[in-house]
Amino acid sequence: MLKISNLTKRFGGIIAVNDVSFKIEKGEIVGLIGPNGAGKTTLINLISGFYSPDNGKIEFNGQDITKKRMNERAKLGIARTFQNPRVISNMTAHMNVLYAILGSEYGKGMTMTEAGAEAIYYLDLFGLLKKRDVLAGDLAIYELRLLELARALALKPKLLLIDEAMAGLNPVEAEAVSKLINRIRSEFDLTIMWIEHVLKVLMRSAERVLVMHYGRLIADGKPEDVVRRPEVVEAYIGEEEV
Amino acid sequence: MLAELSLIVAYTFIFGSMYLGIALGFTLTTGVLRVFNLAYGAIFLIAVYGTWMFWNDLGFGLIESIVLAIALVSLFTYAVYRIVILKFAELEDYMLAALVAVFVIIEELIAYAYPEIVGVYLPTTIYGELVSFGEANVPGQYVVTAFVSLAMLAVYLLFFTRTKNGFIMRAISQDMFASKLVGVNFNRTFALAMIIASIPPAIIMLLISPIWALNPYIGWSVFTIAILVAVLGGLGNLKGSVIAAYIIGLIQASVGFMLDPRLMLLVALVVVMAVLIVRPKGLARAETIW
Ligand SMILES: Nc1ncnc2c1ncn2[C@@H]1O[C@H](COP(=O)(O)OP(=O)(O)O)[C@@H](O)[C@H]1O
Ligand SMILES: [Mg+2]
Repeated sequence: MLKISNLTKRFGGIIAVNDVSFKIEKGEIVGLIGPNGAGKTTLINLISGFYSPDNGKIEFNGQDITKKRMNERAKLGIARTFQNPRVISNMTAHMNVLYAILGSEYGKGMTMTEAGAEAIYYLDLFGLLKKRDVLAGDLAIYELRLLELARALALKPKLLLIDEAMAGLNPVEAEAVSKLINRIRSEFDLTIMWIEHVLKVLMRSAERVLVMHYGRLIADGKPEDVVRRPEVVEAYIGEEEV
Repeated sequence: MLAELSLIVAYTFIFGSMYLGIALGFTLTTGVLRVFNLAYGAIFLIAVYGTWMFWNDLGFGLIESIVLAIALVSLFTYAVYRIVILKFAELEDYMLAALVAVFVIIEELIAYAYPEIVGVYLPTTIYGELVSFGEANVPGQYVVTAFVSLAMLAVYLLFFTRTKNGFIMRAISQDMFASKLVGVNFNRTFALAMIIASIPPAIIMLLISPIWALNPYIGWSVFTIAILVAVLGGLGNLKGSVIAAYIIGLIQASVGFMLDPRLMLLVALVVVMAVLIVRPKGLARAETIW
């Protein structure tokens, strides 16, 4: 489904993503971990089209999308969330999701009323029904994470890129988000690439984990194997946990 | 005194509504495209001289000529979008210079084809009688223009709150980035915004042309009003524009009847400048079209 070849992105002297190659198959849920500054967010930015790479190739369902713009990739079925949620803060939760539906291909044929009802469905799915008329700017971080997921899902994506859904959440909230992601994955036939800072939260959800360090991909495998690899342990030295 | 007061109230309503109509499209373009469309002034000229050309030179009926001229205005703004705005998207200084150039080219072309001494008169008067308003009598055509302005505002609001494209424009005006994220097609929305934005100024110009003496350079003075309203209201904010239009209307009506009509524009400019020194972003509180 997704094929990354020799992807490289530099920022001045920093090589944020350094010659990274991997493949993700349809239906997989792949974790991506690494210490702060490893290049995880940059990698998602490259895949979603937020940045263009200095080198390398991105293929999605057999199509070369390296040169495609962000909105075109969204249309092709790549949706994402942000480490720092990016919603329209002056619009309500409902309007934020509604906007995704109107922007999408399937929303074209819908009336405002139909699209509005569809948006309610996604809000409900993420337990945000009570917050529908609250301005996104007034939502708590937990609700914002849910809203971003609801918006991403409302695009009916094939590939969902999640950037640190757990950051800033308490254990109860983190657990709830984790459950929801697992649920939508099976219900909506999604392929997911899920970034977290540490592996712990991904242990139960991901069957496969990629590890990045200083822009390079240093490990790729089953979570329980990956944590034992010396290079991975090394990368996390100085941090409390993997 | 009572008569004066009636006049001021009446003309605050008339000028305010009319200025709003003049500025509606400009506010829309700045709000949605984030482009300070300096070619906007050409719309006023193309509307009236276009109608004149179709009616007087080419022999069409008046209504047909008006429809054709409005079509020409839409075509013009679409061309400005495709040829100038898209081309210079990343080079804003050049874009602004090019937009002014477009305006001046249109102006000079019209001045060449229809020199001021030739005299252009459009019989677009809908109601030529006086209308009494309290103690004051005002030209009916002004009142018609004011109500047409308000009707266009109502259409805009319905468009923004009830239709898909209106909603998309509103969202783009809030956050361009989020729009890319959800895959919205900018080009289509922008082209549509440009075209919708060109209609109100064209209609208002046609309605006031029987009252205001037409000349090929009238675009600038009308455009100045659009800029004043849009800037005072907070660029790209429709609520702000509504308030700003009536404030400017009130200033002009008061100055015109109590001081000296020749000071109307000057005082309005000075007041707007003073407000902007205190509130550089104008009266609006949010950077959004609605
Ligand atoms: N827009 C940018 N400009 C300059 N440097 C950047 C930019 N984005 C990321 N970087 C740098 O690239 C490296 C990788 O960052 P990032 O991808 O955010 O890491 P992670 O998400 O793994 O914490 C860091 O050194 C960071 O400072
Ligand atoms: Mg990151």
